[in-house]
Amino acid sequence: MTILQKNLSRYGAVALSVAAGAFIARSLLKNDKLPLRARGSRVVLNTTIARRPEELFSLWKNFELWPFFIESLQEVRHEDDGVTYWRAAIGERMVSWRSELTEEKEECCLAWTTLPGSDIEHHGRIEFNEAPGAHGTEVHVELFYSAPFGKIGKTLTRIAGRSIESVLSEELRHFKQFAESGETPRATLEELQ
Amino acid sequence: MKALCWHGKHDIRFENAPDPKIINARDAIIRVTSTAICGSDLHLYNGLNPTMEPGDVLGHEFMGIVEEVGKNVPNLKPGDRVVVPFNIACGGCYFCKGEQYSLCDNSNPNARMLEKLYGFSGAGLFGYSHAYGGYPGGQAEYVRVPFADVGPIVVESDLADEQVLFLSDILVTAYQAVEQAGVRPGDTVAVWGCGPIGVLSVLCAKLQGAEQIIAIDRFPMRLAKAQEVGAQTIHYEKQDVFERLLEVTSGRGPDICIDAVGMEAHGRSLDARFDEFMNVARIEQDRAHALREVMKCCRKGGVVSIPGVYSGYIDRVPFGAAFAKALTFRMGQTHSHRYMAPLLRKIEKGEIDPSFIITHRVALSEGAAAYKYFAEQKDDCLKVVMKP
Repeated sequence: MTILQKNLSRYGAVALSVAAGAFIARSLLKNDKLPLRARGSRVVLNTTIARRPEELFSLWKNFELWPFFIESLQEVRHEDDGVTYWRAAIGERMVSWRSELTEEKEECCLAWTTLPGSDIEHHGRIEFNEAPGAHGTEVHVELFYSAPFGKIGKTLTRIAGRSIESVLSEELRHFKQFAESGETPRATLEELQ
Repeated sequence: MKALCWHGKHDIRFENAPDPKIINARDAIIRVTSTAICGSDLHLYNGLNPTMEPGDVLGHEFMGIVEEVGKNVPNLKPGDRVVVPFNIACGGCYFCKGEQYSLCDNSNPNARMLEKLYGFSGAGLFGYSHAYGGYPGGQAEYVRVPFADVGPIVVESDLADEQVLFLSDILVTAYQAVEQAGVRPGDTVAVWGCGPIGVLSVLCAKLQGAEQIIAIDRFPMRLAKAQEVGAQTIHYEKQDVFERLLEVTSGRGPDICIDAVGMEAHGRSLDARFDEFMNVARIEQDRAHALREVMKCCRKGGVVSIPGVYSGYIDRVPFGAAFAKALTFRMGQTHSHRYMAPLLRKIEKGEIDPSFIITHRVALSEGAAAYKYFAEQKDDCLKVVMKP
């Protein structure tokens, strides 16, 4: 056996074990009994916004303003006991979920989770940290989500050919645009329809 | 309304387009009184931008009368006469706050398209492709102006449209091209390209105190225009540019070299021919012969300023020369908003009158023909102004 062949067979073994590991992991991910963190998908988003952390914290917490910068949101309303009800149009389907805050540090971070019975099960956390210089605030979002299987799940995995991650990243951009300029830029009226 | 719309390479049509409406609270609707064709519109005319769509309304140099304003535009009222900068800026992001308006974070609704190409996106532009936002442009009877509380400048004096129209792009662009190079007393400035930006760069270099200005082109009429505002000239097909520049600077080379040509350079040298081949073969879009020559000719420790537009990858750039000579590069879209007010004051005081570059005045309905003769360099065309 030449050195090259030895290396190839060694890499082959490694590749095989990685593939096996991935297969086992994939089977595990399908198990609904595992916590969301383990079986769901993770999305991490970062942006810098030219506003103070406390301004962004209160803007973010003002959930009822969200439909102004997130198009798909049809309704956001506060219910009793710190629970918020969300309704969104995703593709041609309506989905809704209820969420509650699980962590709140004034001017710094918020974490939330959805309640049982939600169409989109997820939990997430957002941090607002003062950025260096005149950059404003560094915003860091981490989200774990799991969509139900079936039609909605498929719709959710890709919206109009785009990944959930790119859709969420665009929504975070809309938050930045709203925070910095007070509106969402639009080229034409048709885009709104 | 009627507008000049893009339908494909060399296919511009004067036709019906949707009437603009107020969409956001910071919008204004302007009735266009004068609009111009920019050299960069020719890149669209020549089909070099893959994100144009049939029916797109062209034009980013325009001015007019305010017809309607959204509820958050306290600085404008219907009836105001305004010039509108070609790039759109929100005024609230890090870049706008630092007066780098052309880098605005928030005005391009299609920012993700440019991010894929360049890593980050700059500001949205009027009438300049979907990658730059898909905003309908100003070669139209009416146009919607977003962030109208930040961009448009009100003209209160009774100056003619032709005297102030170029605050929208070419005058501020030429001014920035010179200013960002930092002219010092005694400096020699060389300008490649005697299109409107090149000729106005000569004017602005004079204004900012350059000792000696040399303009380079191949069209006698354009060279004459540059000469009219104080430049010595080099006809690059008749003289060797490098040799001639050494002669007039006594072997030093120009202190500041301005590339007012951009991605559609012409030339007879080997590299220019190769660019043309790469262009036809669709391997490389930018033909950068002028930029290569600029990098060779600039003196040691000099400044290269690039108002000419480039869009993609460029091959055979003499980066070794740039490194060995410790060149400084300044470039980018113009931070128009920064220069409009001070330059309007200079026009009002009579220190500058950029209207001398206009060679053609036509109705907007004749715009399609104007694009053709401007692109083909027919009839000594330097600048076309159109009236809707």
